[in-house]
Amino acid sequence: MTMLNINNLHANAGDTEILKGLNLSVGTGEVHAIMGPNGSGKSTLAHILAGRDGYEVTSGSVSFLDEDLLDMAPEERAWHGIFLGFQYPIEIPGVNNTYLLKAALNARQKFRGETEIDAATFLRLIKEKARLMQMDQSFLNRSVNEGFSGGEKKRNEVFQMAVLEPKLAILDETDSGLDIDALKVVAAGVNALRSEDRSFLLVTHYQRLLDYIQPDYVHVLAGGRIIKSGDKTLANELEARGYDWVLDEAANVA
Amino acid sequence: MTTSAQDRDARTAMTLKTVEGAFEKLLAQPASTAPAWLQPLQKKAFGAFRTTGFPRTRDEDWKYTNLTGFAERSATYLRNQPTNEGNSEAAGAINTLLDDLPRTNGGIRIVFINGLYRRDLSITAEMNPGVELTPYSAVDAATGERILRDQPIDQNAMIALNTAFLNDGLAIQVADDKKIDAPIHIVFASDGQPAAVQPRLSIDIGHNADATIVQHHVGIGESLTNAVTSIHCAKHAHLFFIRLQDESPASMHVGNQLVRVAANGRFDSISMDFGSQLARNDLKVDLYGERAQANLYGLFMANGKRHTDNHLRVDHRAPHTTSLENYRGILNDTARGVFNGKIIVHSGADGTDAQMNNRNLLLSEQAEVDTKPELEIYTDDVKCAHGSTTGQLDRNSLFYLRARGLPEITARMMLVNAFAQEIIDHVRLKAPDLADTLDRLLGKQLPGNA
Repeated sequence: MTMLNINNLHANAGDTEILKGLNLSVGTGEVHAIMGPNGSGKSTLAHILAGRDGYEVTSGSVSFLDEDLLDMAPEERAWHGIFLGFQYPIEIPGVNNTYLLKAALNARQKFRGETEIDAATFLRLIKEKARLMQMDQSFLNRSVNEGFSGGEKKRNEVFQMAVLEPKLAILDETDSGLDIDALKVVAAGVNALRSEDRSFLLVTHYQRLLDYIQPDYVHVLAGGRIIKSGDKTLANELEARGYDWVLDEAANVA
Repeated sequence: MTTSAQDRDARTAMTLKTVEGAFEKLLAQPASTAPAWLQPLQKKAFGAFRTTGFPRTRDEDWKYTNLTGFAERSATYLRNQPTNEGNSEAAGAINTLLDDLPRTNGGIRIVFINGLYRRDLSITAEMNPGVELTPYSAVDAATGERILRDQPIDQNAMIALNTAFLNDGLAIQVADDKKIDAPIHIVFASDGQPAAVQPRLSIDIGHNADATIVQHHVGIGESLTNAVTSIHCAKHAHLFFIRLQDESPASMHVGNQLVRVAANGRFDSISMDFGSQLARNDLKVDLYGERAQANLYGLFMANGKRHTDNHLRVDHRAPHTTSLENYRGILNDTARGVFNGKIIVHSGADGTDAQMNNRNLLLSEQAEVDTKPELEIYTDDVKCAHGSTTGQLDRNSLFYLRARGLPEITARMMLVNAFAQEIIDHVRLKAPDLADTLDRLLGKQLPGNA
């Protein structure tokens, strides 16, 4: 079954067209990697899917579980099961990590017409997920990302994902700025969450992450469009040969 | 002169004349609570007030705050003597306000209604030896003169007005070496009767003593308050002073705190304005002894058409004195905030360290804040810094929280709350129950709960 369906998506940031007719279909339980050179529109795609303002969709459509995603506020997308792992998770002094997660979970429960999660269950849940991410318990009671190192911030993103259990996780350059040990922890966290009900969209510049998280499909995004798709061997080829040959190939077809 | 300017001047003259009439009436029929020994001081103070009248926006210190409405309400109200027992309806409302106060936890609570002491509502039973609490109305002339000897009488027009129409007040004296943990909570409640309330507090912290004192203003209806507090911290004394103005949105409030800190003394203050349609507070700290220090925190919050003005002045008069100012404002709707922080480093105050910071959060397009730091430095060996920022909620933070599934309104409330907590956390250290009250007050005013 198709979970996410992006059809001929065009989008501007200011006066600049960033996405120029992007098509992508992600089935339930699949892991897709979006690769591409810098400035190709990878992060824009991730942000548009999560509902960040500042972009104008000029044509095309995005459906998520058969509903019009572009019509929803960011929080509604979260309640429907979308999660964005940020490339640069921001620090929010004075907003407690645990408090944020509890409020987020309960807002979703309310949206789904379900009862609030009781304190004991919640506490068990976050402790279990913190263990999964090898996070110190003290992180839970700190302000969101405040004073965290780059690696701790990324780990916290995957921890939040683990707690919120989304249907579609979009991870924007989750590997950037990670040393190999942190990368392994982050990848293990993602792999632990892989299931036949959950899909992933991994946005990445390098193939390195894909050594640890095996994708089902790899797409090359360049010039605002998907110009080549394949299986995980495509990632290896990109690593070996760079992006130029794909760009040339696409130019020849055009 | 234009016609409107002439009109304004005529109205000002009329207001002053009404106040004069009220003062003559007061001299002829003094309030039963006002001790006779006050009268000579009142006459002196009124003389000073009459020469200047109410401050006007042409005065640099009052450029952004127009007191015309305050002056006219004062003139009308001053014709009536305040009483501390209003009608039963007001009494019910006052009781509700008092019930909402934080728990005393064995500490002292003194209650004034409309500026008059109410022994029956006050809690002094567990009073510590070494803490002397003296209502002005209860003392003889000799004690009264001793209390008022070093008191501000007419340093500015509003202090002079307070003195002239004073009915009662409270002197707090903490003995040398005395340390008190539980906050001493002084409540000034207004029940909305048409009375111009002139609260007065004098605080004297003895050598090496340590205390926490809360000056808390609450009220209902169209009350009018002109409060004066004078504070002295002796050598090595430490006062943690919390001022909370939470009067009704229809009230008007002017406050003055004059603070003097002796050598090695420390004055910590957290000043908060949550209420009043017009609120103006002046905090002046005189660091006159070597190594005296002041840490001044503030939080002001206004919504609707309300106006809140904070003026600070710190005088560094002695070597190695330090001051820190950290004020935050949260303005919504068409509210207006003013912050003015003045630091004067006098000649000879070498080794002074003064830091000033003001941050403001504007929650609507129409909200406005005027912020102005002023530094006057008359010596070379100083470390001074000031900074100010005014802006809206951070869009990236807002998106982050919403992307996690927080409704926009909740995300906004969380971020505003986080901004305010950096000040409220200082209260929590010394007065946790009061901090909980502040959380509640903050919640009431946050966007979405207005």
